[in-house]
Amino acid sequence: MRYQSQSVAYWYFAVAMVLFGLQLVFGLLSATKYIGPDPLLYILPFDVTKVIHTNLLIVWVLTGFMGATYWMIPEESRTELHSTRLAYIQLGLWTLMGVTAIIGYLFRYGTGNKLLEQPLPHKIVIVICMLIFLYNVGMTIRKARRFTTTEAVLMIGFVSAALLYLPALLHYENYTVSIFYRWWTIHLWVEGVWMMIMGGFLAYLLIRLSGADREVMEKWLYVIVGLVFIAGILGTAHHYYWVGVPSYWLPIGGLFSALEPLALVGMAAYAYGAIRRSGLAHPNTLALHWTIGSAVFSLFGAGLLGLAHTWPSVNKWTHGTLITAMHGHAAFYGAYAMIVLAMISYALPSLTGGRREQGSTLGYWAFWLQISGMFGMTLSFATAGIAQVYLERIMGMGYLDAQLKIQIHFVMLIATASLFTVGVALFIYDFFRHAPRLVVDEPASAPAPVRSA
Amino acid sequence: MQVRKLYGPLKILSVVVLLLMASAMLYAFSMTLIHWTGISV
Repeated sequence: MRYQSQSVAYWYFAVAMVLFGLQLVFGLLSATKYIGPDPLLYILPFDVTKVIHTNLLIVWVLTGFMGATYWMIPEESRTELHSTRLAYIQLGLWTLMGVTAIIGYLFRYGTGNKLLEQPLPHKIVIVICMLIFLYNVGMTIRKARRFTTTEAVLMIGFVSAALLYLPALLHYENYTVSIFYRWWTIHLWVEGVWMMIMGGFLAYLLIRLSGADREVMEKWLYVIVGLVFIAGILGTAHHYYWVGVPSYWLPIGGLFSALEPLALVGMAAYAYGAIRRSGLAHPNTLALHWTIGSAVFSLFGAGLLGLAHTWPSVNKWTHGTLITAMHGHAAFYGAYAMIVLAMISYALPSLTGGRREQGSTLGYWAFWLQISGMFGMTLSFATAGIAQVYLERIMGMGYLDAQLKIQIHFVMLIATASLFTVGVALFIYDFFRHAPRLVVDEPASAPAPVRSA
Repeated sequence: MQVRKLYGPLKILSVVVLLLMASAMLYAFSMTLIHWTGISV
């Protein structure tokens, strides 16, 4: 590590790892409820386990994003962070918010608005944490007077993510209005501005890991960001099918969300092209696995599986079925979980002692078990979803009768989710088995020339 | 730095989480076995 303040990232990554593990616990408990009568039904019903599962996902990924940013910004701007104290205060507040929100959900304390269940006091803490984060990073860049394109894309992503959270602070009595604005936050996060955050990390990793030229990489980053925005903003309309809004949203949603995979094709080609043209310039091949894996798996999960059911004439059958779970799991894992794990794998040899730069054997097992497990989970949701659509939507079978017919797919889901869980457990074990060694081991270079994005 | 002292508690917490993950897997497998005869297509 070249700057002492980068050590803040270790603690963010550590919290993210603990929350990632807990997310899987509640995921497994949720899947088990599809198998048969559940002894935990009255202690941990499905609505509670599912809310905790999805909220933990959002919280740990955001924790990882913030940690990765605190790692990346000092290197890009070539200066120490503005304030490590603020970064630790932010982490404390953020963790407290996350833990109390989960405890609250156990007692049904939440708004009931899907994916935005956080009660208002928690939402206010989220806004405060985001403001602290943006102030800290913004002041660091201002102090350095060095602002790279990679940082610009990352920061536009974070500022937009904070702004798009504002509609979530309001309560809407009308359910259709509530759904309409929910996707301004959730869709425009995950299929809009979070893609910019992912693009920023991807560019940073590819520039560091390959011998690719920064100018070339950053030029293509603009193209990818452009594609994300062209399709992603109006692609929000694919959440507006049959929710009580005018029907003109159907063709708008169909057309623009069908264009959304273009940006993901671009990202995969971008990653592959960088390595193919420029070769590997860094010994950390484990981080390279996660980086290329993220670009390819997000093309599969977010791009192809999203496209598979985004057109209105297909979605009229698949809307609200396990087909959505198929797409959601693969997309979120490929685009966001894997890019966070890539940043952690890249930074970890510098943050801990006794670790090989190339990555450990456990690290590679963690990678392949997670990839295999998530691929199997995606296929399980897909087969269950296709059968569910046929039985429920075409044959007219009742919801619970159809669920009994597709139980066998949930046996496959639990088997493959267990494989995935073993992979995550190995990653968490590998993360914590070496104590942090938070010292500067490489002197920072001389001040860089001023350069604007 | 004082924050280094957090490593011990966090490592213990990670072990607790790993045990919870193993328990959740065990629970899911047990439920699958218990309900196996009721699972049909």
